[in-house]
Amino acid sequence: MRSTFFGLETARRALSASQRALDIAGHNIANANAPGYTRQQAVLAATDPYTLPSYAHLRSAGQVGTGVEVAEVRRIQCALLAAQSRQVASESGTWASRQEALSRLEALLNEPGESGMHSLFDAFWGSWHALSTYPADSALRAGCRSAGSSLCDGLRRLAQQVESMQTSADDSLAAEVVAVNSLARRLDELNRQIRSVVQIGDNPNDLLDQRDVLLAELSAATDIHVHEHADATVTVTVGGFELVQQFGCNQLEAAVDPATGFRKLTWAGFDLPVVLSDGRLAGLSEMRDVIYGGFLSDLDRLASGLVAAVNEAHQLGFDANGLPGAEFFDPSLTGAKDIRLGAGVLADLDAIAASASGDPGDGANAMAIARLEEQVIAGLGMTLSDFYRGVVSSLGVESREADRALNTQELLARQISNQRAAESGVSLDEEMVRLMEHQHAYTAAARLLNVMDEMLVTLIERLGAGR
Amino acid sequence: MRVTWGMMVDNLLAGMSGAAARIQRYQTELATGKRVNRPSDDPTGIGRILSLRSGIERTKTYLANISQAQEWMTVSETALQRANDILALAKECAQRGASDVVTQEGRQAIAREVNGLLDELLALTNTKYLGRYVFAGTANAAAPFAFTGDPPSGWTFAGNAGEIRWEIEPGSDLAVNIMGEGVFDAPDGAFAALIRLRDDLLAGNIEALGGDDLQLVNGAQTLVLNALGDLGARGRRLEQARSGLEGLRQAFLENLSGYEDTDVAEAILNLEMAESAYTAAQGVAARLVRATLVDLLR
Repeated sequence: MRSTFFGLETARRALSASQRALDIAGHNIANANAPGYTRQQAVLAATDPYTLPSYAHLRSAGQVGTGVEVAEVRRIQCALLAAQSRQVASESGTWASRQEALSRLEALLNEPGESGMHSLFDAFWGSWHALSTYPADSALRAGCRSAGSSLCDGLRRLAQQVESMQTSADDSLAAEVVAVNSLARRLDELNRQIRSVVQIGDNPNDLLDQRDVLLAELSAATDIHVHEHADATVTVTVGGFELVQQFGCNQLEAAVDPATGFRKLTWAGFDLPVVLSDGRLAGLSEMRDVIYGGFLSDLDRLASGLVAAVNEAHQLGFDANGLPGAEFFDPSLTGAKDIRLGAGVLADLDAIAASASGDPGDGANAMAIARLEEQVIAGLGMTLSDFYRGVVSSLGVESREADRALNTQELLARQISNQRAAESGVSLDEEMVRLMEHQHAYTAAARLLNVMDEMLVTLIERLGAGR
Repeated sequence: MRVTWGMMVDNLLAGMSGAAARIQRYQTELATGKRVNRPSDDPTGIGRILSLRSGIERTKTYLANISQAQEWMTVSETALQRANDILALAKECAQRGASDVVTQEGRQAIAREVNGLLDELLALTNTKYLGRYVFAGTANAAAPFAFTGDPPSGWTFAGNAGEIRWEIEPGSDLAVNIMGEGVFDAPDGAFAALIRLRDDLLAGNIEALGGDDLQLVNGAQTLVLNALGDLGARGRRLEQARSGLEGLRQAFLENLSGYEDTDVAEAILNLEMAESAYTAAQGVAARLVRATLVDLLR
């Protein structure tokens, strides 16, 4: 026997399901431009039919449907694309740091410019050539000394600027560590919220979106591996060590390593180094140690090669007073950052040893020094200019490679983001159609209610015992 | 494939910023006139550009050295030619003094003339070029020659035989100075010849005047002429080096321009292409914000 009011409940369920579906479409429309938002879909399903097999089973056709319900609010997302996008973000982070470091070095070098190191070298050798023609002329001696000190200033300034860039990369690393730690704590907090929502059987869609945004941020900072558990919480590992655990999280620590004077990344509370392969953190350490560090050591080699070669030749000659030459450059240098002229030359122009024989008119030693330009320097295995040109040229090659790689990464990132948008993005057209669909469904359900109502009116009003 | 609003906007923005970046690049190329503005613009070319610049700079140095050497040698040459003239006059004096018709008073007058020639010779052997005594070797800060006695009975030489070598081509240098020591200071040089001539004139030693003295003066003149010939040869060497260097410099400049300078026609064409891509992207943006389904559903 059918209950009198059976159809009313079916209509009510349809009304409520349509309303819920409209709510979800509205939520989608509202968040159409929210970054990281993943579209949601009302999954409508028929409710359990009537009747179930039992001894009280009625002898009539069955089962009869009992209406509709929103079985699930589904988040339309592809986990693979999310992982790919994180991978690309990490690699982009590395390349962006590399590209930034290299283009800064390029700007600093200012080659091929009128004021680059190369023209300072040219001027330096040129001043020795000039001195060789008239070694007794104090104007030419002064020219030689000032070309030497401009060269020293240029090398020193370059080295100091690169060092300060190294320091600022180190500071950025520390700031980045603070950001990563804060992300880890927020992810841990989200894990807890998500777990409690999942435990009561709901889908924490918007929390998951928030978590994905945080994971994307984190993956730009460092390469992460994300493992999702059955309770929808995630474990995030960095270089094989758990940053965010299912319950709780670890923190990074950037303490100054006395050996290098720069910060070293360890896991706080564990004496373990952080293994990084990609992302901004890895990029910044590479920027600091490999790109800037390597450039500085090249500059140091250039400076010590120059100092050794010029000093050796200078000491073979005689100064304007006929005394054996002292050091032209201060020999106590530790690198390009403290290259300077020798004290004797700074104090007295006569101390420049232009003469090979001791005669005031002899410029043969100045010529010998000018010719060092074309000579292979022992410590470098090539001439100073070739070495410098090699440094500039390889910087150019690396910078161009970084530009290209960064472009490729950006293209890749855009492609993946397009794929994700195609999968998870809100299409307003689609939501409009959904609105229309559910609106019509709502109207139809209301109509059903109307019919039921009329039936009951017929039953109660027309057949009523009160008549 | 589902196409969402966000995708269209993202792609449009990417396209626009790409076109804007290209416009900026070509504008920089055109504004600076340089194709290579940083090492990564042409990593292999940058090495060539830098070494060409060094090459040009060094060629300038060599050309300057050559000009200076030519001036130095012109000054030396003038002095040597005058020395040659003096020695020619001295020969004339010796021939006149050797003649029987000249009286002893006449010879003493000729001897005074020779003393004048000696003074002139001293002045020109102490010729300076920009503060340096050209016949003094490398000890060229002070006058190399001086007389002892008045009238001069001998001379001193304070210079040396040091060569002043200047680099005139890559790896090749040239002595620019003529050794005063070899030309004037020698025992058979001009000073010795003239003093001997004057003494013989004063002594009336006719035989020596016509014979040994004349030969001595001739010998001194040969030394001067040899030095002049030597200068001429070095002058030709300088000229050769100069024309070689000028050719080299021209080639360097052309090469550098080829590596470094913007091909203006190409850059303008590229700029126009980038600009039209940018305009097209803007046009798309203007169309994109038109009606969606929202406007059509009522």
